[in-house]
Amino acid sequence: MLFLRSSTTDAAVNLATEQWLQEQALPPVFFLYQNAPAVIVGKYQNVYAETDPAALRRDHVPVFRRCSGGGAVYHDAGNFNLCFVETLPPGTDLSHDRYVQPLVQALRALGIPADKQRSCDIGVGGDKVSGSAQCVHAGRTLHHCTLLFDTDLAALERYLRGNGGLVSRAVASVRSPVTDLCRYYRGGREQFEADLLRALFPQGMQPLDLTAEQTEQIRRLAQEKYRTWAWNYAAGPAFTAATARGTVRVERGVVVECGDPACLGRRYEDVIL
Amino acid sequence: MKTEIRMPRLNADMKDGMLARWNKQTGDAVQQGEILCEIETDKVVSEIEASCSGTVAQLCAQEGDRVPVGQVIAVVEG
Repeated sequence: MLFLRSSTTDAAVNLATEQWLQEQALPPVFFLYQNAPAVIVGKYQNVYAETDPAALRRDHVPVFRRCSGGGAVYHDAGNFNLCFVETLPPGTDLSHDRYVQPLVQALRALGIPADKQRSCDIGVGGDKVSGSAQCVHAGRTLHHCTLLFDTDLAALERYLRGNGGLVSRAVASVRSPVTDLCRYYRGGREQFEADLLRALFPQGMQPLDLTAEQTEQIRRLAQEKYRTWAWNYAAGPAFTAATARGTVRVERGVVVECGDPACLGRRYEDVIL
Repeated sequence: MKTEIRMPRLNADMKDGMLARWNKQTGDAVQQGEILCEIETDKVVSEIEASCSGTVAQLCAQEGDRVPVGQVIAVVEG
């Protein structure tokens, strides 16, 4: 197993690194990172249905769209992101268990009474501490999950406040009560990371060192995709919403139908904020 | 010859999948192995490849539809 530890909390770069790793013909890789405060939505979600755009704008919290499925999550430095990328034989059962069960065992080895919840979550005492998602591209499977260590759970509640007034065929998030692992572990983030890696990979890993050229490829992908409004906001499915200016129809993030002609052609968030 | 493309079963528990996005439209030429669409199920996004080359004769589901495993999602004529 190759190991890559991110040296940045820039979500655009870390998401670009995940995509880049999936596009390379590499042996199995484990990539570990944390992000600065950000909301990350699933590939086929509607940003406006899952978040509070006003709160995000007020607090300068960015939104990023990932390549995997599932719901919206809040990231900060108190949340570890674990990403596994590998080539599986065609026809392999794409169960989350392949990755979730070893993580449950590793947490238990650290004295944390973790259990698998639903098909792809991990909980402690009935509250969720980890959620997983996957994407399969060109035969390469990417599985990643969050791990709430000491995340600001109040911020999570503040930003992931969906708008039920939107009519959309996008994937809706499943809300779950959450908790932080630090309540069950005596030690800080660095100690937790070291202990977790030892428990997950007792046989050790081989470091993956990126060349300057590879780092540049990732930087360019972050710039051209993960920092763009077109990907993060506009790539979600079309929707209809009731606003103070009447009912609007939004496609590719832009208002295409509205009783108020002044709204036509404008970005949805500029109409509602 | 017409070839039916069906919703695959990605894992043992999968009962249906959401047709997330069509990469091809009716009338488009498609090569074997080309990505026809993406589906999402249980937080997994997966690409569905065309199993033969030809022309897309019919798309049997709309984006956002949940389609049972085994049901035809597209017909390719080639």
